[in-house]
Order: sequence, then structure tokens, then C-alpha cells
Amino acid sequence: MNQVAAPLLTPEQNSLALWALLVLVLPLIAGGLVLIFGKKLPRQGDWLAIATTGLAFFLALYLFFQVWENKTVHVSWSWFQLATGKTSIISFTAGVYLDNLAVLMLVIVTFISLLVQVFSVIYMHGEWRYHHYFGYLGIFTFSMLGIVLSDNLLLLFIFWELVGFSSYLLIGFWYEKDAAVLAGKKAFLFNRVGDIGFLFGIFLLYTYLQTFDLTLLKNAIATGVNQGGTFIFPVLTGQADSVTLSYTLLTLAGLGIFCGCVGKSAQFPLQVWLPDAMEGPTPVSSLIHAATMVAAGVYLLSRCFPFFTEDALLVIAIIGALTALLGALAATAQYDIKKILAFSTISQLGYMVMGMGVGAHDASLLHLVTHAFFKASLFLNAGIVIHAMHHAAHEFSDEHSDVQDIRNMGGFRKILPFTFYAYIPAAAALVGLPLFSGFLSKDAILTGAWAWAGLMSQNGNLLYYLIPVFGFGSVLLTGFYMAKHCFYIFFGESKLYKEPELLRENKTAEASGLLLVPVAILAVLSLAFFFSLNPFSYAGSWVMQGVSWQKLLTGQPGLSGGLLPAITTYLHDASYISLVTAILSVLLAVVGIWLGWLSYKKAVTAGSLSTITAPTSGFSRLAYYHFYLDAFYEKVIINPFMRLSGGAAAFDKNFIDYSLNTFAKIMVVLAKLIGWVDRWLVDGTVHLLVKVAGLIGRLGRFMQNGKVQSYYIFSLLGLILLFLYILAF
Amino acid sequence: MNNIPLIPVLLLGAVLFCLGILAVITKRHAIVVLMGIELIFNAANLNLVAFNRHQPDLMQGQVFSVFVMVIAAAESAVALAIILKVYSYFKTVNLDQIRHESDV
Repeated sequence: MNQVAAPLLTPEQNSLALWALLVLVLPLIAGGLVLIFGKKLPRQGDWLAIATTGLAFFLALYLFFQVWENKTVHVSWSWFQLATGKTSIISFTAGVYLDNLAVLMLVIVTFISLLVQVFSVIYMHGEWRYHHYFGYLGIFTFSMLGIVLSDNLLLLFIFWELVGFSSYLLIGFWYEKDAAVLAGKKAFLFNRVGDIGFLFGIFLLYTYLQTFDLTLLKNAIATGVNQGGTFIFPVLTGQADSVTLSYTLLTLAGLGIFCGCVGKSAQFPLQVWLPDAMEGPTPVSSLIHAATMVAAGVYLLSRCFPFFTEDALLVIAIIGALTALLGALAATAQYDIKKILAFSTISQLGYMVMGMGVGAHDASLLHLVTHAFFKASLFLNAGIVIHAMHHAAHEFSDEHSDVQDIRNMGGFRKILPFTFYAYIPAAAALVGLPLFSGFLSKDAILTGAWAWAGLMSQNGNLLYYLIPVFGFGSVLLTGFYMAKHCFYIFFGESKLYKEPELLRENKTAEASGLLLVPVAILAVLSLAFFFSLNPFSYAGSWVMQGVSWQKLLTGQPGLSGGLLPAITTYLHDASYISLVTAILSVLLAVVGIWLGWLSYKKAVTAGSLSTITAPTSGFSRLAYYHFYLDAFYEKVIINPFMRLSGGAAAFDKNFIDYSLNTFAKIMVVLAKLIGWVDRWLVDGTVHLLVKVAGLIGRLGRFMQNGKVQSYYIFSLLGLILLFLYILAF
Repeated sequence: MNNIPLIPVLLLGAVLFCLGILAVITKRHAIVVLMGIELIFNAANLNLVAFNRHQPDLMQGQVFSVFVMVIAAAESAVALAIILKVYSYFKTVNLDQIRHESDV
């Protein structure tokens, strides 16, 4: 592994790596300081957290302009060494890997973290653990940057877990609420399920290829030769012979790594934690559960793309498509403003994962970037709306109405005009309307999926077309639920704000700059213009060109072999696909919006706009309860597990404790017995000896009494005894 | 006179010996104890003489008893001298009272 420190390391690369490390630790230092000393600092230290994140952002920008489309920096240091035998030592390295993707993610994470922290200053104002909040955000930003910068899987896994931990802290931030505690626990546990798979994947790769380093792994796999189902890798460091690996094993390793993505990126069947995670503060939902952390799974897929075989990619594509469709379906039946966005996030993550699976690697990453901006924007705006609803419910409504239920909302177009104008571009980007960022990325993914299906179904199996069909179906559903969402929130009559002065008051509340600046910036960044000079075509997108597989994977597509080049040529030959996809997706989105409008109109005319009822029809119930996945887990996993643990506890109490107690009693009896023996036999013997010695001593003393005559008697007696002895024998 | 049997003489010697022992053991006065010792000597002498008479070929027994008498006289002189010194040191010749502190 020592060959990581390649000779082409220049001082410039070293300094860039050090700058990257600085970006990494800045949020941690600030977070730690705020967490510990926050109470004593003025304003509880929020300025410190924001300033350091801002500094980290500018450093990230510097790194971005140094590295983007320019060079790749890989610096690693010796981490620790383990002795495997008497002579052999394996050394592990840890380092920084900066390529186009890493610096792009660096900028996005620091940027959105900065905006969210600025937003939180007002949003979280007056919270009694205000400084903890900023401390946790600092820890989160640190861990997320760690994932982005890690050059090996082990380090990445550590940061991966740290991200899960900080997510847990922030979901359960309001731990006075039971729901928040439960949601945090649920998120943590569901992530663990995925992480076990991830760990197994890492172990598999390490066991056979003897390295955690991503670059080395990539190189090892690139040099592997496929010989009829088995891959033969040439000599690796520390190994005598070449390594032979079966295709199945490699697929399993890839799927193991994908498990980590399934957990973190809320893919089917582990996606149920994400809607519950909305119990956390809304800015947290924006940063962690929409823009960055959940996208880490997609980032991981991109980093590990060479390790996926064609079969693994097929599974990834299916899971992604299924998640996209299920998430969108579930979103249509929700009425909680944050839950709709959460399900929409699941659906969009499904898109990204599907994109990875179908080999639309760059499209998927583009979607990651655009989604980060528009979804963060949507969540922050939702935060403003909820804030206003709280205000209204507090001032006006005497009933305890659910402030997050969109059926209680309405008319916010007039009450929060700025938010409205910030919300619409983000929503349009999510739906995928032209001129907005989501259009580019979604179009790219769908085109990729279509091309992949076309390529794969050349053997006559048309089932592959289900993947793009799922994707297109989700476009329609996305249009539907987002239109409904917007109409319910922003149009119609306000149900809570009926008094004009209250309305005016809230208008001034909205105008607080610290709330609106982040929202405005994110809304502007929802425009396609920033991601591609030609807002109607993703082909010219600078992001996509920067993260294309030719550049990121240095032209080595890895185990999937010829799939990526084949798709590229297929697309090149059938260029109509791109155009048809664009037209079709826009059409579907418009139809979806129109359906959403119809559904809203129907509710308005039926007068059932604000009647809050549980869903009645079979399908809407199915979607509302998220296909009863939670109930399924409850029945199939949690309940049996609880019963098992109950049984184990009973066994423990009735059998193990009982036998232990009995054993203890026997031991006590035995001990008493031994004590008796000790006292009477051992001690008795000793005492007897002592007494005998004493007796002898007394006898001696008695004889030696200083009286001449008694000495004489004794000698006489001795003489008589001697005579008797002689006579007797 | 010639046919005095051996056994009664020996018995007499034994009686004398026992009386001597008795005197040595029981009497407190050092000079009386010395006298008991003389009795024991004489008992031994009597035995020697008796055995000599029983086997008269040699005069060993009689000669030996003369030696014993001489030595006993010398020994008595020494013992009396010791008793005198003891008396001058302890101011008593009572054996029960003659005792060093270190002798218990």
C-alpha cells in the first residue's frame, strides 16, 4: 500500500490536500467550540459556526477552481500498521482524494450548510439548546465533508457512521417529543441495517484485493481479466499469486456496498426512516435529509462505480426505479407539508440510484447537484410556512390544528409573497419543467434509462423497458403531487389568517433578511442556466461534462465492462431518444400538474378542502400509509424480535439466573463444609501440634527446675529404664 | 562364718543402696545428702566384697572396695569443702534454698 505515495506528488498537490483538510476540520472545531462553550459565548456562538462554515465554503471554492477540470489530487499518509506475522506488516493509509466530483460536493455541502445555518439563526431563535443545534450542525458538516474527501473505503465508512450519528442527534433534537426520539432511533437502526451490508462489501473487497484505497481498488479492477465468468487479477501488493474471483462474489461485494446506499439514501426497502426523520427541525431536514446526507449514498455509488458488475447494476437500477415510483405514489396521498417533501426526496433519490444503475453516471450526479439546491430551497420555504402557521395558530386559532397539514393552509401567496416566488422555481425544478435545473438532470437520467433499456433489450426481453417506464410514471406523479402541494399551500383563502393586522404583522415577519437570503439564493440556483448554458439541453452542462465517467473513472468503467461505452455509442446512434424524452417528460409533467389542479378544483367545489379525514379509498390508503411497509416491518421483524427478546429475557431469568443462583447456593454450602473442615481438621491439627509442643516444653521445664535432687531422681529413673530395656530385650 | 550365702548379703546391699538413695533424695541438709552418698558407696562396697567371697580366686573385689573407700574419703573431703564454700556464698546448706535466679 505504500505505493500510494506516488512519486508524482508535487508540493502544490500537498498544499491543496492540506487546504482540503482545513476545510474538513474547520466545521468540527467550530462545532466543538460552540457545543462546549456556546452558553458563554455572545449569541451562543452562532456567529462562530457560521463564520467558520463561510470560511470553509470559500476555501472549498478555492479548491474547486484549482482542481475542477484541471487536475486530480491524491495525497495519503500512513495511518496505522498491523503485524500479520513475524515479518509481514500491512500498513493502512488515510488520505485526501480530490477530483471533480469531490470538489463539487465540497462546494455544495459547505454552501448549503452555510445557507441553512444562516436560515437557522432566525428559525431556531429562542430554542433553549440553540448552541447544541449549531454544534451538531458543525459535526454533521465535518462528517459529510469527510465522506467526500476520503480516499479509502475504511475512512469513508467511519465518516459514513459519523454522518448517521449526527443525523440521529439532529432528528432527535427536540427529544422532549416522543415522536422525535422514536424517529431518531428508527433512522439510526434502519441505517445500521444497510451499513452491515456495506461493511460486508468492504470486507469482501479487502479480503481479496488487500486494500481499502479506492484508487488502488480501481486500478486493480481495471487490470483484471475476465475469463469466462471469473476475473483474474494480477499480482497485488503483499500477495504471491494472482487473485481469481468469481463473478458472483464480485456481484455480492457490489451489492454489499449498495446496501449502505440503500440505508443512507432511503431506498426500497429501507426508505421508511426518512419520512419519520421529518420530526427534526426543518432546516435540518433541508440540509441533511434532502440535500446532502441522503445523497451520500449516490456519491458512494459513483465512487464505487467500477466495483459493480452488470448484474449488480441491474439490481441497483430496479431498486432505484421502484423507490422512485413508490416514493412518488406515497407522496400523492400525504397532506403533511414536510412528509410530501420527504417522500418526494425518496422518489428523487430513487431517480439518482436508478441513474447509477442504468449507467447514466453523470446524469445521476447532475441530479444530485440540482436536487440538493431545489430540495433545500423547498424545505427552507416549508420552514417559513410552518413558522407562519405556528404564529397564526398561536395568535388566532384556539383549536389545536395540525400546523403542518396543508389542508389547514391556503392563501399564503398573499401572506408570504416572497416565499411564494421562491417556492415556485424550486417546485418547477422538482417537477422538471424546462428552464429549471431539474429538467436537465431528470431528462438526462430518463434518456440514460431509455438508452440502457434499448441496449439491454436487444436480446428481445422487453421487461427492461419497465425501468424507464417507472421513471416516466414518476414524472407524472411528481407533477401531480407538487401541483397539489403548491395549490393547497399558496392559493385559495387563508384559513388561519383572517384578521388583517395579523396578516400585516406576519408579512413583516417574513421580510427578515436572514430567512430570505438563503431562500432567494437557492431559488435562483434552481434555474437551469447555472448548470448548463443551454437550458434546454443537458448535453452542454458543465457539471455533467466534469463528472462524466470518462473523467471520474479515468476511462476505466470497471467490472461493468463495456456497458458504459456501449450506452454512449447507443445514444450517439439513436439521438432521437434525447429529444423524445425531453418532450415526453415535459408533457407528462404538465399533465401531472393539470391533474393536480383538477384534484384541487374538485376539493374546492366539493367544499372538502379543509376537511381533514383519513383516506378512504383502497389505493389512497395504501399510499398514505406508505404501502404498509412500516406495519410490515412491525409485524414481520419488530414484533417477532420483541417476542424473541422477551423470550430470551425470560430464559435468562428463569433458566440462567436460576441455575446461577442454584450454583451459588451449592457453592455456599460447599464453602461452609470446607470452612468446617478447615476449622476442625486443619486448624485442629495445628492446635494439637502446638499443644503437644507446649506439653513437651512444660515437661522439659518441669525437669529442669534447678533442684539437684530432682535431677538425681530423673537420672536414676533413666538408669532404671535403661536397665529395664536391657533386661527386656 | 564361711558359709554365709550370697543372696542375703546382696539384699542387704540393695537395702543399704535404697536407704542411701532415700537419704539423697529426701534430705534437705547437704551434709545428710553426703551421708546418703556414703551409704550408697558402702552398699556398692558390700556387693563387691560379697561377689569376691563368692569367687575368691582373685582378690579383685576386696582390692576394688579398698580403692572405693579411699576415693570415697577423698571425695567426701572435696564435697565437704564444696559445701563449706556453698555455705559461705548462700549462707545456707539447705538444698531447696540453693538456687540461681536463672534456674527458673
